[in-house]
Amino acid sequence: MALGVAATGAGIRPGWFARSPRLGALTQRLRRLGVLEQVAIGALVAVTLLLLAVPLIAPHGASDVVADPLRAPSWRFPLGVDEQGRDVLSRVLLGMRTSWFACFAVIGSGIAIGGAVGVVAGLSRPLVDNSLMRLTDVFLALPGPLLVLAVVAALGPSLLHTLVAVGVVWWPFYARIVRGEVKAIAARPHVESARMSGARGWSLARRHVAPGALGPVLVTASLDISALLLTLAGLSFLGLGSPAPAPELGAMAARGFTYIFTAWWVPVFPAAGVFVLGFVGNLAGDAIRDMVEG
Amino acid sequence: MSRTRPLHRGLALLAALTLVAAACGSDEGSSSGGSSAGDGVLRTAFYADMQVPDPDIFYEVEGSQVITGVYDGLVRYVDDGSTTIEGALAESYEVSDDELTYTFTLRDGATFHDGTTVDSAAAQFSFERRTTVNSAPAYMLADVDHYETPDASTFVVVLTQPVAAFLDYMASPYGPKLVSPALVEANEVDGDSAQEWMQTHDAGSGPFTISEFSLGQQYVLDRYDDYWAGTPGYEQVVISIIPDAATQQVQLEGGDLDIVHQQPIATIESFRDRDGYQVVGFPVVQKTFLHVNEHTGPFQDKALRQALGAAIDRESIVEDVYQGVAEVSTQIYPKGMIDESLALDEYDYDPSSLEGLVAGLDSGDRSITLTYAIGSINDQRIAETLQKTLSDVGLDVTIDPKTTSQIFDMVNQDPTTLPDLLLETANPDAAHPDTWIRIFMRTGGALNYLQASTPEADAEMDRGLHLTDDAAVAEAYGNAGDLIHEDATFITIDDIVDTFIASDSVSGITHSLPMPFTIRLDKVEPAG
Amino acid sequence: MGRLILNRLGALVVVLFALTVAVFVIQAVLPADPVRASVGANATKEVVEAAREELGYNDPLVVQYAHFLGRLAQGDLGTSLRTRHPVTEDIAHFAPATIELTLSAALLAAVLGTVLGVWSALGGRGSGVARTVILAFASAPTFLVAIFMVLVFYRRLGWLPASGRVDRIPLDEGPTGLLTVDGLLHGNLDQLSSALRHLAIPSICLALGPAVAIGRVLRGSLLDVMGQDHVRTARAKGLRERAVIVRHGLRNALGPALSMAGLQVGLLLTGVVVIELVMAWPGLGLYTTQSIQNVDFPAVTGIVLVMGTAYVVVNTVVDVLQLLADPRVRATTTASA
Repeated sequence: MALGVAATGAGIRPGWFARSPRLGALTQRLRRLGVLEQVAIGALVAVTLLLLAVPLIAPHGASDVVADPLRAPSWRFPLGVDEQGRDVLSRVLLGMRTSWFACFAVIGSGIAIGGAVGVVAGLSRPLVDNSLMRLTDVFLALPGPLLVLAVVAALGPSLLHTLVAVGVVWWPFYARIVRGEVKAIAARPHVESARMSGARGWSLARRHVAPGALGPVLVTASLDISALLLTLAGLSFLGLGSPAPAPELGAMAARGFTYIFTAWWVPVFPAAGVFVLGFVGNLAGDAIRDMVEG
Repeated sequence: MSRTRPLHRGLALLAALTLVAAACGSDEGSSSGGSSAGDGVLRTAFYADMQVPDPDIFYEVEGSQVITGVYDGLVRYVDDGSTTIEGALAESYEVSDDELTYTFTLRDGATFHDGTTVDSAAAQFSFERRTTVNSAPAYMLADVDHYETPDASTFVVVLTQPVAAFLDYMASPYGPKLVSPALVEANEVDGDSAQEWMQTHDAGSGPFTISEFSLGQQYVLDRYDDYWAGTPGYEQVVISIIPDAATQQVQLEGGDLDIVHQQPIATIESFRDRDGYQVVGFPVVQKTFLHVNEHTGPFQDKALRQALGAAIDRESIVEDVYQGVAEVSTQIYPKGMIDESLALDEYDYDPSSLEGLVAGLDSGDRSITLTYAIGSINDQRIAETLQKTLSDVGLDVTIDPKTTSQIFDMVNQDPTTLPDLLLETANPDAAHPDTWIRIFMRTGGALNYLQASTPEADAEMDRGLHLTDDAAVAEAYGNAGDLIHEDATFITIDDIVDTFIASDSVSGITHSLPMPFTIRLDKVEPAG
Repeated sequence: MGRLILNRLGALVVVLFALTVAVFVIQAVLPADPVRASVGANATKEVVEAAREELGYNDPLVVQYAHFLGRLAQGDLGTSLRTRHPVTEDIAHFAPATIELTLSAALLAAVLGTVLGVWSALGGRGSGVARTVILAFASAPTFLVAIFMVLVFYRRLGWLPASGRVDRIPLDEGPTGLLTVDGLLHGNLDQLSSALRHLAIPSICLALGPAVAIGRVLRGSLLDVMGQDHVRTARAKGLRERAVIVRHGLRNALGPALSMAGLQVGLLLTGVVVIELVMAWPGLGLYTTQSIQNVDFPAVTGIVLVMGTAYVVVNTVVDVLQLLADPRVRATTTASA
């Protein structure tokens, strides 16, 4: 599994929240940012919107056979034709869309589950806190491929099931980050005083703690895009990814890998798609971090 | 505070990408040296570690190169791709008219790797070891009544009932191999018949002997200078474990490998015209076929199964997917196992009748599942092609790849929960038709995954197994095949051509039935 | 610190126990037949059944689990269904290769990450380009980066080997099992250089991602520290910029970077699987893949336990190092232990 290049947790320092502003002040920060940071964040938004429109842009369908197999890039097929005679350009565009939204699904659920666990752990007594963190450790220590295999075997292979399995190993990172932030926030005077004045449990978490943890989570999430795409590619390489013929970039790159020396465009362009998305995520992640840190 | 603004060098990125593309696009450049050919070492690769190199346990495909390289049986298939059986450690053999008594006359001057003589006592010892170890290949001796050793060079096997495939079992790579009683006894621990020792050593009499067996790294076979059929051409064979086909290809080009197997079709194609390399293909009894589920879904209807056979465009599958490393299937059995006129499994390509039948189905019955084994690139491509073909006639096909072990488990499950179609490429243990049809297609067969049953065909193959007349045997298996074809619970697609890519520095590459990825190590030699 | 280590040891037991339960549950739901996979594809039902009985797969899962725990207490992980060696022996055979690869990748990531972090925090010329190039490679699928490097450094230039761990030369093995270290200890320089050449491509591929992450953390920390009062004071006193960074910045930034590195090493242990496949590296990743493919339950269970232990141990070490590096982290570290 290509988890080795995960950026999870990157750039988040303990106690970071102590200086992080409320989101209200962020628009101001955005204006103060350099042009390129604005471009990066703009790119993140633009790519998302653009990919929504892909079905309208893509010249062919993802599984349409348009020519003889393995034709090199030409004017008619700018990125060539794959082993089944399908247009690589269309598949890469549609694949970027699938992969992009797969990232949102996994990272979103990671934030939801991990965030909940992290907030609860951070605000609870040591016993509960410790138990939750041990549980998190168990999931962190599980070898990813094995878990994915088990989930895929139990539920049957599909992109959704792969994503479920990856989600299961993904949330603990967020749990750790959020918990760390919450701990730091909980020690802050304004939270302390809110607690004193009777705020408890959910309301404390919602009003004072969760918003503060959002910044680091957003940064981590954008840096995670690349890591997640590479993980999906790695799983496909091990034969555990999205089954045919759904266009998912990682699966396309991994399945096309056998043509690396005979028809390089089959694996390289989907990989370039992974690369572009991951790069945009990384750029935006750095920019968001600079923004919230000011 | 001044901050650098990194990450904005889009040009660098573009340049890196171009580099990748350029590097991938051209690889016709000069070889980077690597190890030079001509040092008497044949270098090849496995995709994964083999099961243990113990001939009485080994029962897989990858690894048969080691077994056949270090062990000899009594007989073997001639290396011309035919089912003809010739003597190996036995110079000749005789079969009694009742097909119960097999008399093998052993070759003079054959020795095991410890220098001890191959004699009838060693043969009996080896056959008995197989039964004692009692692992998967032991079934081949299940019908043995007893052994006789009237003299040192005569070994007699007496069966309880005729077994038409018995001589084929003896010739199979999985068949009984002769082991040195002295070596086995010397290395026996707690009565284990030296099973532990033979996980990393050999006790054989073959052209090579295992000198290093390092899991995950390499297996090294050294030449046995006193081999009975003459000194082998290479001094050493090094088999590296290299899981990735692309990495193997690069190393072939770099001179670190001399011969590779199971490369992607496109790679094989690209090597056909390249200077310095040879692409060699051999007939092998290996077939791609569909198991059709008669217990659930639309294919409970025989008419639909038969129409399915006609709806598959095998010509274009063979052309597009295999590009010459397979032939269109014409028989239920792998090509070469039985006379070409028997057990035909031919269809005139015509998707319209399936289309008509599908149109008559409830829309709920039009969804089907197609499974293949994860990891087989060619099966995957055929599955994708079939998915397209079938969706054109109105079926909604979900592809559901499974691991091989999940597929093995299907025979234990309720067939109504299993996929509608299962695509696999498989080979039998030997070149006798019984070794194919009984295991895959007989009711209750060990690898009859979708649990198809054609009782009339079962009766024919059971009859054939114990017949003694060759023509009658062929007729019985021909009938069994015809009945399976008529029932259309299995639809054959193509016969594989076992294809190797080798450097021109290797000559004399030959191959025997029935195992793919296995060349004759005693015949291969450095060129020139 | 003693308490921290004790605390972590306790956690290790809990984590491992939970992992064994998890593995057994996975085995129970996995619709696959380990026995069939062990005796071979075409085996008859009788042979499979006999083997199933002998291997204990007919017992109820709870009984199997009890047996497993009993053996585990004696340090016995069972026998691999496939290699037929004790799993502990197999792991001992495959682990050194992975440890050597992971260590060298971690070392490389640390060096590369530090250089990147310091360089870009100082606003050095070209740091942006360097970071972009590394980020670019870190954003491409590992198997493609690996084969690309093989093409360049093996096929084109002929500098580096394409696969495996060492050339076929006389080896001095032991006591560590790491070929580089053993070569050094025995003064076998051929072995050392061969092992290093084999390590180069896989460890670079593995190090790129973590290097970017570590560099990013380090840069942030450094910039942060540079803005603090005591550093401003030090700078005002006329100390050279570089000295300020080294003396104040790096020491304070080390904590978060270490914590990051710890997490990354944990990930590396999983991430080596793909690289080991592409580069034919005879390590645990290869053993894992082969075991999963063959449903070798005892082997898979053993690997899960060993990798889980490694993860917890590495992170404990990182926590301790962090304490040593920066006592101020004590509060947050013990809290998150």
